[in-house]
Amino acid sequence: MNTAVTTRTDLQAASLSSKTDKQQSQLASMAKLLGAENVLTSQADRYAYCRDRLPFALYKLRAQQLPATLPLAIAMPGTTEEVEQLIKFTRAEKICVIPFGAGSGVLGGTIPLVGELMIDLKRLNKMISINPIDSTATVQAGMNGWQFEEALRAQGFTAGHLPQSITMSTVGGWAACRGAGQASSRYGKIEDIVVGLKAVLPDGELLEVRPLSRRAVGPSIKDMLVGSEGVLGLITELTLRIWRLPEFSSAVVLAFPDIEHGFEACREIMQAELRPEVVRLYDLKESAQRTEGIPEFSVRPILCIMKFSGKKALAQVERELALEICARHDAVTADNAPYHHWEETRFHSYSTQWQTDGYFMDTVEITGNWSKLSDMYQAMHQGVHAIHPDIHFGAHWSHVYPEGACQYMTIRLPPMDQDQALTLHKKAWDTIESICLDMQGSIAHHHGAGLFRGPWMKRELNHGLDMIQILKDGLDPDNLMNPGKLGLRQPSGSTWKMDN
Amino acid sequence: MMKQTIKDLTICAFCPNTCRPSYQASGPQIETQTPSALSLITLAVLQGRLSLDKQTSQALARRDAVNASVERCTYGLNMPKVLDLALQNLQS
Repeated sequence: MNTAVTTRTDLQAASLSSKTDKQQSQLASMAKLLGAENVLTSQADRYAYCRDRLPFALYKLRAQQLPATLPLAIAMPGTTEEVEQLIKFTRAEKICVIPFGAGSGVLGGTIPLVGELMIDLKRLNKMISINPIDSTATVQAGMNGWQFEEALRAQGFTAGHLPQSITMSTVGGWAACRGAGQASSRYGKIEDIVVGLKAVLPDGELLEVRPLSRRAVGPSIKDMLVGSEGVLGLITELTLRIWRLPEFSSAVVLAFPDIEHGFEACREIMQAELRPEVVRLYDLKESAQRTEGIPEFSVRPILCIMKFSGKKALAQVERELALEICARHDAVTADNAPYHHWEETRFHSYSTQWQTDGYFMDTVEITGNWSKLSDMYQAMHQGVHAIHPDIHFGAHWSHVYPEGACQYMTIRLPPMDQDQALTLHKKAWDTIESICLDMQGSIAHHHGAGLFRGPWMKRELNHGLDMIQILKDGLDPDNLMNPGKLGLRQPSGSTWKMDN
Repeated sequence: MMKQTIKDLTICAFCPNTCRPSYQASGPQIETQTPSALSLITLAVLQGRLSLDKQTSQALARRDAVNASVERCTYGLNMPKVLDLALQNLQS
């Protein structure tokens, strides 16, 4: 546990707390190790790192409160060796640490709870190599996602990982949170794309998972890090599967009579072994926002966007076969304007304006199987609407698989008293996650668990959570690496609760 | 005038830095220098929650990223200008 850190939630109060002699000495040692310019200690710097993009944290900041605490300081190592040395030092000194990429996570995975040391990895931002024979790219964890994809495209490749957050996230962050891109139906999620990695373990030793397509040597060590959100180690380097840029692509906009017909068509397409690059099915509310004035949607109000890409002959056949399936489910094609609008805005953030105007907006993504998805959607729709008469609830399904799909929901409460809103916001989360678990879904598809999904992790993982805790305790007996995240044990001194 | 400045700062503070690829990969990689962080800090100073001491002033003077963001702002904001306006108001 860090000593003499503030757990006060107000910035003015936090600024009154000064560092102990021991902390001053620790920071001086870190400055010696990394260079003084790479250890930030000012109040302003610490304030900048007290948050990520967890909406709950934003509500607190908007009300002039801290999400939890200020970090102790920010360390910015420039090499993997410096990360190793830093972790050995922090372990010896029992300093809690949090790996930090670009802070675009929306579950509070990088929010300091007890004045942790933030380890900003953005100086580790180089493309190491592109291997056209093995079709892989090796990259440092702190490289910006869009700069990484642009570097690949310059060589005629793509990683096929194109999340909405691509401009504002790092490659290491994608892996740490087990993210998904908008082309996941074709290229898979990040766990399918990462084939190797290097990570600094809690004792400061470097773990290497050599990049290979498959292996059979026990449980996947790679998958213990991909999705670990920094609690088991700190990813410094990744090797990703890459693909030749598609030579052809073709988009289509479809109008379905209702969601159920859309579900059936998407299921059949994926189970027919077709591989659309993009599939996006929207519920009535989200369809209406995107289809105003397009005649086909007056009778068939449900919007679906699909995109086929790859070798021209193959992509054309896939498109043809997919459209046959859609036609059997009473869909018609429509003007491509909704596709073009999505393409133009696909990497924007939609929440900023609402949050600025005082609304309480959030998104929740879950995974459900096709056999349950329709009932799950209806139950969540009704459950959330029962919470407040003016709450907004909309959903779309943009990651589809042979077994099921990700249901991505937007909830939004109007401006109101903060305490009332936080109670209703928590209730909306609990309603959605509880229905999801009752209906055998997974509470998270690609945003990760972070801090905010802690309350539902035991039901999600059952004995699996105990397994992760035992692993954590073995690797990190002092609970120093991003403590309190993934539903694991809170660090000593933490006062974090969902409703505080 | 100040009302609009505060609104622009708030939009930027709550934006997850969609302008991030415009920052030089070879430059300093400090989260505090992003437009969103500078806006958050400036709002805290305007609210009287953070003093405009030497260290805060130094943090607010790191302008490489915010200068690079102008052409790439999702909301069409000129954040260097907005920050200058806010700081002028503080100093006047």
